[in-house]
Amino acid sequence: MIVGIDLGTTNSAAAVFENGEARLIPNALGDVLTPSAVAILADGTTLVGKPALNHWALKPAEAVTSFKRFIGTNRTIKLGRYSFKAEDLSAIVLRSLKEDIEAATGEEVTEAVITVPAYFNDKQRKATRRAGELAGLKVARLLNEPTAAALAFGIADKEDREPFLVFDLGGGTFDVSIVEMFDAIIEVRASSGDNRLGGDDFTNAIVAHWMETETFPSDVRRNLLDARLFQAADTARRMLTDETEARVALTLGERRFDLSITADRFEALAEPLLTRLRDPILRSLRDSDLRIEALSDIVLVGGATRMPIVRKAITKMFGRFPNHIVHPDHAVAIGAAIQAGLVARNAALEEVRLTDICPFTLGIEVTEHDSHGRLRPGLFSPIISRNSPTPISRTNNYASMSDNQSHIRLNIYQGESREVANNILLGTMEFPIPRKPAGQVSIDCRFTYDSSGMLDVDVTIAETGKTLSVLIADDSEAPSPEQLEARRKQLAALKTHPRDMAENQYVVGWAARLYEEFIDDRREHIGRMLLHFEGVLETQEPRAITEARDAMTAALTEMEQDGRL
Amino acid sequence: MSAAHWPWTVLDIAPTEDRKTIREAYSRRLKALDHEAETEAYMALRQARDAALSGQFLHPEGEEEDEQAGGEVEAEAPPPMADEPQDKPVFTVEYDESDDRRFQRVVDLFLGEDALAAADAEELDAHLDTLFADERMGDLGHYARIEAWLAQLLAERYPRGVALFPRVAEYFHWADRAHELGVHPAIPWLFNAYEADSVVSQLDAPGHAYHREWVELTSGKPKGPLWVRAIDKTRMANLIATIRRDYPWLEQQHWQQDLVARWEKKTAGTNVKGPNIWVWIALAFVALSALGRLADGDSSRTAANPMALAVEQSAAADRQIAAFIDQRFPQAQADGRSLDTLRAKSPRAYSTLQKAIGTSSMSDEMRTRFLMREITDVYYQIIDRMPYELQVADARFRAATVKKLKDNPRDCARFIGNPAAYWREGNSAAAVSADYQYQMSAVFHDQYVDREWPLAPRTAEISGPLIERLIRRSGVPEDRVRAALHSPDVPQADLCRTIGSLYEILTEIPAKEASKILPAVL
Repeated sequence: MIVGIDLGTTNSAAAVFENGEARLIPNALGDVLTPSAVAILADGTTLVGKPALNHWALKPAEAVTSFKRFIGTNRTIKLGRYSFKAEDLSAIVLRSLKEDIEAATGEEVTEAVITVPAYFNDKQRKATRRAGELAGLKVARLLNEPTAAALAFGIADKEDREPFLVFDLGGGTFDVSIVEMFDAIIEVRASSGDNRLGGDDFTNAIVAHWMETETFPSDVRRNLLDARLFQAADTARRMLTDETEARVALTLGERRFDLSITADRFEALAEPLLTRLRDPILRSLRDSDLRIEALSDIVLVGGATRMPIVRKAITKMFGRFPNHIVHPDHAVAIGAAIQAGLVARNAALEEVRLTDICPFTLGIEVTEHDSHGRLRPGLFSPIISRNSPTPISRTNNYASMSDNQSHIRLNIYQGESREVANNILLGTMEFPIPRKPAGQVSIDCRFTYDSSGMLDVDVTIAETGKTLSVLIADDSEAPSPEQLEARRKQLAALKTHPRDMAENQYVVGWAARLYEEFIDDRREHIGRMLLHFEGVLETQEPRAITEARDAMTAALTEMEQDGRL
Repeated sequence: MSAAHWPWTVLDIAPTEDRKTIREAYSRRLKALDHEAETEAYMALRQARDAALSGQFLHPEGEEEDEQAGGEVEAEAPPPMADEPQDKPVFTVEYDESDDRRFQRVVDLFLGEDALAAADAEELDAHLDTLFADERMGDLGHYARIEAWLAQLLAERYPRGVALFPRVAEYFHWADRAHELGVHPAIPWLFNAYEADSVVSQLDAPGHAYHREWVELTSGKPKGPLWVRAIDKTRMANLIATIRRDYPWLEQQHWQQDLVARWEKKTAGTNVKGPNIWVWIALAFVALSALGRLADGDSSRTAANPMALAVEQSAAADRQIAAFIDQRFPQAQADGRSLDTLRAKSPRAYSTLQKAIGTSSMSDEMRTRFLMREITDVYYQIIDRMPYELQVADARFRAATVKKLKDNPRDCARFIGNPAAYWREGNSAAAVSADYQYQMSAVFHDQYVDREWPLAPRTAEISGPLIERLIRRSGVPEDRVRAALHSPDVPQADLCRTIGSLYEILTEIPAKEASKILPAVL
């Protein structure tokens, strides 16, 4: 069965679509929200959720929370003797949710719709997908969180709605989407956001204030102090939801530290964070060509929108009160379950269609002549502009830069800045071109972005008619052959040429052959190389693959020659 | 009703303005296909719906040419003034009469053809104070309206309110968004205009690489036959092409049409390429030697045949050029940029330098000064083209210097006293490449030498926003910042803080820009 999972920074939740409606699944403790926290005890026992959160306060070295902030990075998080990447930890949480659902429904969970912040970049999405696969789930779809909330909101009564704005401030990320609903078609018109702004930042503002006013003992271990301070400050922040003043105390060894903070003081501390909410909202409005007064509703999602200072800022910004129909903590999981129902073609959702957009601009790096006639490298040439409806396929034409140029290196970027240095590098491909005077070799660069966030890039050299392609999105856990075939078919409908992986396959075949020819040490060596290379291939990182392939080709050539001698 | 045409054929309805009909048709078509698999069909459908909703395709193409032409003209002009919609908008904030008066007053101040008077500028500044301090700025609609209104006023009346630009840009964080794709059209336009202004002032300065070509196109043929011949076709083609591409309105404002037409004819078929620095020095020299004759008041004399002189003086000239290169770049020999390499790599530049040395119409002082300046400019060209690794080294070095200057006032004083010496000492420990050391020492050496020479006021090249930032960062009052950049008669502490802040700012901007600003200030 397909389930919907909201994998949040602070809390996660799971839901299933049954009997025409979405239902949240409680965890082993009976809560529908599972804190996104993981602890590994000294004996190797794994704790997830509330127990892990408790353990964090006692032994912060063995537990971790808010790791979603680091997903898609290479940062390793140490838990006792073990070290993890953020995606491994996410996988542990996902596995726990999966077990909860299986226990509640008695059915095996094989596929999931997992939500990600709309403004998550390609790397973060890939890592989330990997996390799902690591947890033994086939990721049917990655769904943008505000889109999920909009689904939950829209499905509630299936009425037509003028454009409304989903304001999603979670523990670690901020997303805005402008959505409109007509005849059961839910159409996302624009999304924007800040993937480094969330409730945790408000807590950190209190922590920073506290550390300024109080001298904490220096003999307490740093991460213990951080964890305790954060928890106490977080408690204070939550108290300020209902009260005008919060008092919390922290005991470190023999000493006791008191914090007293008023709502007004907190508002002043949070001012810089509140102003950061403004730009994404304005941008999404501008992109969807709407005046702020034309919005029919403001839908609040995410635990951090419960803070009175955030509500106050929203009311002030929009000049009206936000909508309370959807539950800020549950809407995303419910929306994910609805999307799961859509993927499974549930009869209750027959008339419903969801169309989403690509929230960021995708393009390549180019060089131009500047006003002094000098070369100006590092400029961004957009191919798919942000807020284009997905799936989408676009082609742009480029020309060679210098006389007798022998190769083109294509750097693929995501971002909004004119200079690629400020954008995110997604991948690189390098290929030879015929040597000609500058500007006479032209290439067609085609970007294909499907609704699962998979970007496919292929390049056709007009001169030779040769087409090269790179599948950008990552698929460490290979889908089953049938699904792969279906995907291939989908993509083949867009593209005229198949992926060019022949070179890699050749090297693999070559190694396999030599493996049979040699024995003992050499055979073992080839086996190790092959294993390594296959691992690299699975990462789908073009540059790494090229490097590994070149190294392997060199090694194999040498071995073959030695063998002949 | 006319025959069916795109986009109505895709939607399978008759042309209509009724949004509901269009959306229903879209809905029907969308549900009939699997939009996640049939991408091409879905893209076509979306396109058709958006076109239908735009209301521009009610009639088959051809019948609406006039409308389209009108639209294109508008698109090229600067963004129009804020156009309020016809139906009365519902605002979430309330505006009273005093607001209306203020808005009207601001608009009035922006109207007018000549530059903004000091009193008016002050008044506008005061209005900005009130606007920015307004509580209602918390309302997003109000905020966005004020932003768009100011952006359009500034753009529409450019350059009248340009004095306000840095302040407005800072308040609305335009600098971060100027190059973002899809921001309010007036914002990137303003940044371009601002940039273009600085391009013009640079081109107007005699030291600029393209100055001669620029002058040729703006004011016509300057006196002296050599000068005219000194203009390189490639460079001229380059200048015309880049100005047209990046700052097309400059052509209207500054160039003389007949001259442009003539040069276009001459340069037709010329490949547009980057400048060759040696050609450039060579040409510059020929031009300056012509000027030198004029300055000497010896214009009655016919131009000497430089080739005849060159043969006799070749050996002596070689020594002079070599000595000059050594003096200019102490490490040139080690770097392989000696006289021999110059001769081997660019015979043409070499011969021009030879001729220059041999020209008797130039005083020694003038010759030295000219060569110094030219080679300095060459240096900046090299810095501009620094490979990536060097740019990184440069950024690191600047960051390290800032830290040191901020931490230690004594360091700061020494740095101001003699940047070149300071740099050499500080750099001996740092692991930077020989090439980088060589380039940096040349830059500092240049400033040191330039100090002796009378130049135009140096702050003239420091842009308004930069001064603003200097004041903000250093906390030193404006007049003292300016003084700190000019004269030694300011308190040492102010000088230190100003220079420290400047370095801090320099670390943030690309090395390319930094190399231009640095010599202007120090």
